[in-house]
Formats: sequence, C-alpha cells, structure tokens
Amino acid sequence: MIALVVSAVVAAYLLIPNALFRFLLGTFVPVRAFQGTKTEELTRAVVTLFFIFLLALLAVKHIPFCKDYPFSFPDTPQMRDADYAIVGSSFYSEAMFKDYGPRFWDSLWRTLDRQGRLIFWYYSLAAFFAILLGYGSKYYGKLKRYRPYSKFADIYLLPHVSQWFVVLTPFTFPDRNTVVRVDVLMTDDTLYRGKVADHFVDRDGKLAGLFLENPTRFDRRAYLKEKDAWGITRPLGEYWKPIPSAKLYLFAEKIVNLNVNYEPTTVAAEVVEKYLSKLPGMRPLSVSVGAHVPGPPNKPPLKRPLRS
Amino acid sequence: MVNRLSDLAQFLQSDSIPIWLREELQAKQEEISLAFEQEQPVTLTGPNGESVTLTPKKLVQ
Repeated sequence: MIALVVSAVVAAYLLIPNALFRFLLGTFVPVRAFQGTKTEELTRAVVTLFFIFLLALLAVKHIPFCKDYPFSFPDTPQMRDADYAIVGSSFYSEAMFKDYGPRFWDSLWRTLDRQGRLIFWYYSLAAFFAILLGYGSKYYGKLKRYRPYSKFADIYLLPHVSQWFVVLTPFTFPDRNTVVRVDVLMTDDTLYRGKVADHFVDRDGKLAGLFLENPTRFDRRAYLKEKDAWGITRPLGEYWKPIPSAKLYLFAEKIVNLNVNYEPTTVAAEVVEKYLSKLPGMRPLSVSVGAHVPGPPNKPPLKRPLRS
Repeated sequence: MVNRLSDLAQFLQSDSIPIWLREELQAKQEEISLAFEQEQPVTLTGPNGESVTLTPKKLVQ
C-alpha cells in the first residue's frame, strides 16, 4: 500500500507537473528530449520544480485566498496533524486501518482536499512559470543583456531547450532576422551550402534532417580536375553551382559535419572589431557604424535602426 | 562543453557579421592594408546604404 501511495505522490508532485511545465514551454520553444534513467528524470524534475513547489507551499500557508480555495472546509492545525497521523498509520498498518474505522475515511477526504488545494496552486504556478519562461525565451537574444534574466535563463532555460534549436536558428541573436547558413559535408563527400529553412529532430532529440533554402552544391570534380591539370584553381566561389530547387532536404544520417555561419542583418561595431582583430596581419583599429554614407543611396533606406 | 546558455550565445555570436561585410573585407583586403599604411580610414558600404568605417588606431587617439 505504501508503494502505491509513494507512486501516486511522485506522479502528482513530480511527473505530472514536470510534463505540464515542458508541454507549455514547448509551445514557445522546442524542448530538449532527454535520454536517461528514471532517477535522472526525477532529479531533473526536482531541480525544475523545487522552487515552484516552495512558492505553492508558501501560498497555501500564508496567502488568505490560497489558504481556503479551492476545496474549502473548516480546518485547524490540530485537525490537520491528527488527519495526517490517522491516514499515515492506516496506510502503514492494516490493523490500525481497522481500528480507526470511519474516522479514517473522514481524515482521508480532508487530506485529499488539502492536497488537492496545494496541487491546484502548484500546477497553476508551474503553468505560469512555464508560460513566462516560454514567452521570455522568444526574446532571449534581446533580453539576455539583462543580467538577472540571463542568470535565470542559464538555470531554467538551457536544460530544457533543444540544442539544435539553439544552434540552427537565430534564437541567441538580438537580431531575429539573422540568417543561419550552413556548409554541409555528406558521407559521399558532396558539399552543400544554403540557408537553414527548417530542421527536424527525432524523438531522442537527435537531428533527423535539414531543409536548405536556395541550396548550392560544390563542384568538387571540376575543382580537383582543374587543380590537377593547372596546379591552381579559379576562385572557390565559382565552383558553387545552384541546385534547381527552392528547398533541399538533407537526411542527418548522411551528414558528416556542419559548418554553421550566422549572418546578422545589422552591424555591431564590437563584433566587427573582434572579427578583424583575428585576421592575420590586421593592425589595431576602431570600427564605427553609420546608417548610410554621404551621397544618394542606391537602395531604399533601412527600415530598422543599426545597432552600434 | 558549454554549460551555460549565455556562454553558448556568446560563442555563437562571436565572428558573426553580415555577409556583405564579410565579402567586402575579403575582396578589399589589399585596399584596406594599403589605406592603413597611409593612416587612412576605410569606409565599406552595405547594400542598404549602411556604412562601416575602419580607422587605424593611431588616428583614433
């Protein structure tokens, strides 16, 4: 009987709220699929929910409305302690269960009412935090400059968000129009390049495939042929041939590696400075960014302000 | 191994510059070096009229 009660408590206080939390968070960002033992799963649930559970406990103890609703009935601390003693000892011993008789059932229903109230607020808070975190995660790139949010996201967001979502989308960039471009080397030595249009993960969280937009293929045969014949080659850009297809799907099982490049649409002076400092032979310099140079622009002006 | 989301974000963002700027820097590497030797700033212009000015440190002071 005790094992049954423990299972019910674990399900009610860990597994169900954890599933609720991940489901709601998953409506905003793809959540990471975990592979592990039951113990690891429970540990993760405890880490995620401990703070929320404490808040729910404080709420039903100290906030007047939460103290009584839902499942309101006249209650006292003495009655509560007695109910827990009766229910606990009855679960433990069948003899005591028989001794208590109808008192056990009265105590059990009151205990269920109390636990139901705690669970109601606990689940509500879990849902609230999942939605709050999910909403905040949509703007992670912009909000991460605020230290408290960044710390909070480090603890709560990273353990839940799919690593492929972080790597293959502009999730971490303040500029949400950042283009994610990849060079993909396949098992047959073919090299593809294109903008990541979408990606898919399997139920284990592993990458299942990639959709590339405006894909190009590196003409390796011509490159090697010219290199062998002439000893030198044309500029590498000339070997990239467009594929007559708007979207190209690549199966992850055929991918050897991915070279990922992020191309923001706006310029950040400090990023350019850092980039240039790594180039060989580049002397120390400063970078300034302007919206446009003097003279008539040949294209319409930017709709978005530049970041400097 | 990256343990914090903020570290991962910083890692991914490093060296991430617009494609037009990357191409301009590659194409005009010699021009930039020459201008810097003469202590001259270089201005690169993007497709939407945005500009990035590179100034050698001595000129900044």
